[in-house]
Amino acid sequence: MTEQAILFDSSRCSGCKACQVACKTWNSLPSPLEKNSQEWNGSLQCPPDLGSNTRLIITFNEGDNGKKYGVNWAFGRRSCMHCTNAACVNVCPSGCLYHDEYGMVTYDAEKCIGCQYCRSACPFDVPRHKGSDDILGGSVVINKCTGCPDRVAHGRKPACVTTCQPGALDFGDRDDMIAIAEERVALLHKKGFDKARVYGKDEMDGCHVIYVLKYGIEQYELPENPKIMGSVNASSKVMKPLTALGFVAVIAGLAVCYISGIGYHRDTMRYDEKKHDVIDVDTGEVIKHIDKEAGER
Amino acid sequence: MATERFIQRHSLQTRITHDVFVIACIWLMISGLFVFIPPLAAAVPEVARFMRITHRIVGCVFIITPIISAVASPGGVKRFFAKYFTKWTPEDVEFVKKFVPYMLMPKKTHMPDQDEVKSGQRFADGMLMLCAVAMAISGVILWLGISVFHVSAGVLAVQRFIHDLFFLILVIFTIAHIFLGAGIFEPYRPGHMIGLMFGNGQIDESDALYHWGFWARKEIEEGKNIVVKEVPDKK
Amino acid sequence: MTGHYCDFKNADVILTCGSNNLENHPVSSKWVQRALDKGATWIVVDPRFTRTAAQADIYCPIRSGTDIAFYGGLINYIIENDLWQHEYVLNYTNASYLINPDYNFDVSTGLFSGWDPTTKKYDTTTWGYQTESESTWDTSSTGTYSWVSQEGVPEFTPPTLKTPKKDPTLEDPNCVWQIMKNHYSRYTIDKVCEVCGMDPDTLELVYKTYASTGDPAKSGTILYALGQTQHHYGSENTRIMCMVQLLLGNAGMAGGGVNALRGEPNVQGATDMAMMVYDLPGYLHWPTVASTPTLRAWCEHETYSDGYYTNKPKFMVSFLKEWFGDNATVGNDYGYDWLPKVPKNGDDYTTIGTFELMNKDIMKGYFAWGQNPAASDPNTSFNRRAMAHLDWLVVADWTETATATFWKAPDMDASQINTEVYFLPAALIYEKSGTILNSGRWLQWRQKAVEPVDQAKPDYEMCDLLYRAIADLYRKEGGKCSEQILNTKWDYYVDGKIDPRPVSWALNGYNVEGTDFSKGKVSLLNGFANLKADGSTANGIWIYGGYYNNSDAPLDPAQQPVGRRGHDDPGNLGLYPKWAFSWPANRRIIYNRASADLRGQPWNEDKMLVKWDGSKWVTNDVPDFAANKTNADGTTEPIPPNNKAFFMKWEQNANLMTTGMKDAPLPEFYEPFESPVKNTLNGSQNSPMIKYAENESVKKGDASQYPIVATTYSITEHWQTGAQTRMCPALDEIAPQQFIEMSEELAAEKGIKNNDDVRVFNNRGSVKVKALVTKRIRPFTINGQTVHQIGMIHHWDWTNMFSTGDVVNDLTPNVGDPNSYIPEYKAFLVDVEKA
Repeated sequence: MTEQAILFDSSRCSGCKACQVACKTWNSLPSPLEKNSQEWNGSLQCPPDLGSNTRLIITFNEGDNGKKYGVNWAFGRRSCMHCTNAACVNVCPSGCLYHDEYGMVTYDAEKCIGCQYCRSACPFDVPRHKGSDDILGGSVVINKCTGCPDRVAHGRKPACVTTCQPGALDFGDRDDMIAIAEERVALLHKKGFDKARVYGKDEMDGCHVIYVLKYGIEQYELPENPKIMGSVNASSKVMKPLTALGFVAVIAGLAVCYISGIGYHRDTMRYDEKKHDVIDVDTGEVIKHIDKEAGER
Repeated sequence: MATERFIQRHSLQTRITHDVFVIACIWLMISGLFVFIPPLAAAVPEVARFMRITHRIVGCVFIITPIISAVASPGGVKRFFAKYFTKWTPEDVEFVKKFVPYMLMPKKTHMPDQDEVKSGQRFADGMLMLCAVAMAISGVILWLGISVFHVSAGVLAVQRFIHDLFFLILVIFTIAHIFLGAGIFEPYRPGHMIGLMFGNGQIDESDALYHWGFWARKEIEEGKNIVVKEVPDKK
Repeated sequence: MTGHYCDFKNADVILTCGSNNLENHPVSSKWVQRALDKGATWIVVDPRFTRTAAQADIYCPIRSGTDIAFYGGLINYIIENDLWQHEYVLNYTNASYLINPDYNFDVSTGLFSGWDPTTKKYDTTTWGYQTESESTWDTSSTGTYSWVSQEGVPEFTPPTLKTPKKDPTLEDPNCVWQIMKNHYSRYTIDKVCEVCGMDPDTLELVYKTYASTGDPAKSGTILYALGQTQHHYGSENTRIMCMVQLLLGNAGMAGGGVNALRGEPNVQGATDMAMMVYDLPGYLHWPTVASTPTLRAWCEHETYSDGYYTNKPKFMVSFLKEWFGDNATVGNDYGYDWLPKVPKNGDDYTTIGTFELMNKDIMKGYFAWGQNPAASDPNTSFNRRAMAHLDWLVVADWTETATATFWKAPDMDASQINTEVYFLPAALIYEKSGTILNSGRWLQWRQKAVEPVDQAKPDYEMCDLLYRAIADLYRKEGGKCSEQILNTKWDYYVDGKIDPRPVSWALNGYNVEGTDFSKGKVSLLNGFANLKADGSTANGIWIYGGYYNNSDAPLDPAQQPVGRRGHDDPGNLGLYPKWAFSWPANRRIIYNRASADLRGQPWNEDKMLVKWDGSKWVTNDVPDFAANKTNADGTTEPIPPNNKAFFMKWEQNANLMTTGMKDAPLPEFYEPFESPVKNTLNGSQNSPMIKYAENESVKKGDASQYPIVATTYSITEHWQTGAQTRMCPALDEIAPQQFIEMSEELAAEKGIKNNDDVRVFNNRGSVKVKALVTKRIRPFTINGQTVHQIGMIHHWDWTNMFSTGDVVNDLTPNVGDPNSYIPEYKAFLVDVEKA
């Protein structure tokens, strides 16, 4: 199977959030049911961040446009970037997260042990976990964009893509999506959007979500240079082998000690506290005399 | 009937504290392995999930046990620190120098007398304590950082590295500690080393003189912690 | 729409004004984007920098309610800079027609000639043409109008065609062109900026860009919605857009037209079906006591002297034939007398007037069927108090709406209300079969997806139960006016069950002979051209003729035009003539004759809709003009090109100036009913014909007390009063809170911070909402003074399981337009304070 990718063109997005609803509907992710329980934060960005039941949000950012009227209103998209060099896959201890045949990072929820390492490893802060909210967190399971493999396997596009009316979202061969994105960016440059750029082509050795950013990256909730944190690699690539090695080495070393100690015999001793003599019990021989006056102990 | 003398080395509280701590530590190591070794967790996800919960519960035990013990006996804490943070004597230095030769050629190496805690023991136990503290702190940050405080990914990653690093050190020193402390090493076997922590906390006179000469003689001279027991005559 | 959604892609310039099309009509975005991909320029004119504006090439702010000033300025700019399309305007519009020399507009009073201060109405005579010659219809057996004298056709005197005088040089001071030019000469760029509040550079850029579509090869489209219409001069707003499109030659072009974006997909369908007091289905006029008390009077009053509406008697007789069936005969004027007549005070029966009647205890019962007046109509707190006077109220809806629970509103005391409320749960659109009609006039068949929940029923089933019960009572007990009930034809059953398919036969039209609904037998008409005035055909709504015309499979919508799913796209213009059916006659772009010049050659070959090849018409779209004629011997022959591009008008030319509107022959700017400033374009503050402004319930607010302009609007996440969308937790989650948008300047003045609770109030009410403080809203400078504007979303009320809020329409004024009676939701005065 060729590598597939989702294309998000922020210059076509109308910020309607239908993709958020489509994602929830297709993936059976619930919304709050308690009356008026949903917080509002003074923005059209609702909910404000990804959450245990929210895999995708559209971000809203109003930048100065240097003109008399209006703003540079950037509609961004926050969801899994489906990296080739995926920190979450690297760090996942249970083999729950993996790349599917299209290159998308998906997971087997059955295998998730709820450690949430993936969340802390992800340079985009994407993975979330759902399940009981108890402090033990014992039953939480990862919840993040999967790229709708259940749809793609049947020749359909991911739910968010299918629902997008302005055509801001597309899905297809990764190379094709990149070509469309680059063409679009060239057009945006021509229209005077100097900071327009493609994002996700080379990031993380190539994401399977390609963005066309209309304005500067600072208006989107995206890192300029996403990287797998050193400590994530250190943990997975150094510490584990090193620990295994240390374990083997110490066992081996002690085995040698053990062998060398076999057959060791030691005489039984007693101490005469009045004479300050250490005496061999069997022979009655004074092994050592403690000369208290000389300061010996 | 002859008599034999024993020195009461560890109190009941010390022993309970140590033993609970040991069980917790071993449980944490095993349950931690389900996170540390992916194929293990992948093979039995249900067990892994259970282990993950217990890792947190037992982690609490691991942290709380020494704290309770310390609160219950402030004097003990003082004595504990006094015997671990003490000046190095020439014998202490000599002990360390001879340690490796001794471990490899115990029959031919004669170790110097030692105070209540051997210098090597002070170092090894110190490492264990350091590891325990580091594991506890990084563990708590990882746990509450995810579930309550939602700290940044960078913080979590650093804590994870600390947790992993000290796990490595802990594994090495724990094995060594068991090897010697439980008397697997034959030179350490004759007495009741294991009983010090898992028995009545007493050590017989001969063993005490062998391991901690200075301390044993001092205890016998003072006589305060000496227990005399009748033993059957030897043939 | 004169066009349709897919047609937006053919535009060279798109002007969104009075609409937030990207947000509120998301499907429009797809086609606008395609136009942009081909290099089109997109202009958005809006009081708020909307999500639509964010994607546009040019954004121009405008104070709510000043659209006529904006468009008047555009007309002036087009004329001054000679950017109008000469051949088009000269031949296809009434620019050259001479107007009654007594016509006059008095700037100092703001009144046109013909004003009667006692009735407060215009006599439109002086707005009419000078007559060149008169001619009568040839109704002889070989004449064009031979059908009039055929047996069965009701007797009436055909109208006289008064051919107007014209001056093709456009120099006569009484010609429409000169009057219009003179009228809008006051609308200079500086004046417009002073009234509307944008800066001259931006305005000129907008004018220049849009007027570039005056190039014959280019087309510009105007997308509008309730931002244009919901004013007490909303109809004039719409008309002035038409004028602009005529001047630039955009009406009838692919990628042109005047395109009203309707909301719920069936809003257009509802409008077609006689939603208004004075309408019959298909935009015929309902009989009135004053001018059309008899069928003869109706035919004489309504029938045009030329053009396609010469056929109106055919539509009316066929309509009556469908309504009363075999009981309608030529002898009883096809039952015309049984139709109720709109009384002289018909205006009292419009939506706004209805609540005054309740308040006066005149109207004692009320059906709220698929509408929610306790939350969506203007001045809703008054409406709720008025509803408490009712004896009974029936609400048919999907959810328990504010209207169904008006007695539970926070400001109502249920113990004092004796109204008996009945709630009829209605089936959702997915729970019933039938047609849906979109803004582009496409009729599409939808099959039922799931069974209705619990006791919910489709509307037609409720109607059927009601009708049968009522008719039964009349039969048993008699009563006043029983004939119109008992003589009504009611046989829309399949296997004994009410069914939308026989209703479709009726709406499409059929030959009376060979049809028996009770036996499932029907002889469907091919289209409305087959309708006759002699009682041999029946049709419920003439404009739908042809949408369901396959008599071979009358019970299978999939084999009907309405069920077509073909993807053919002749001309690559997105016309898709084989996808569903577009009324009238499957025409995708209305007035398409005007897409070609006088010789029938397209203004732009790439946008060819129709073309005269020298001997016949070559077409991509169904011609919206007389392209062929049928001879007496039954043969047809093509009609060569002429100037009759707008054959729905009796002149067959489009009207730049008109007698068709009640309030003005040429749109003139007036301030909103509640405005912070004085009208500086003429001497009348409001339109002289504003409706309902005198009513006590209106409680007009003064700018000294309420200095802030407010407008209401929808967000894409919710629909109208939210009765349905607030029931969807996923939608509540993405838009959980009612808010107002306000400028940073106003917020600073009032000490309000983003996300603060604020109170918005005026004489009519007070609501608590959240503040969204943003740079996207900027204060205006009007006549040199700073005017603040806020935008209020209006999707909440006290009902619903998941989210509730105050009713924003408690604040809107219940005044309206004299033509359409639409309320003025889009510009009124309030004050704001931190809650």
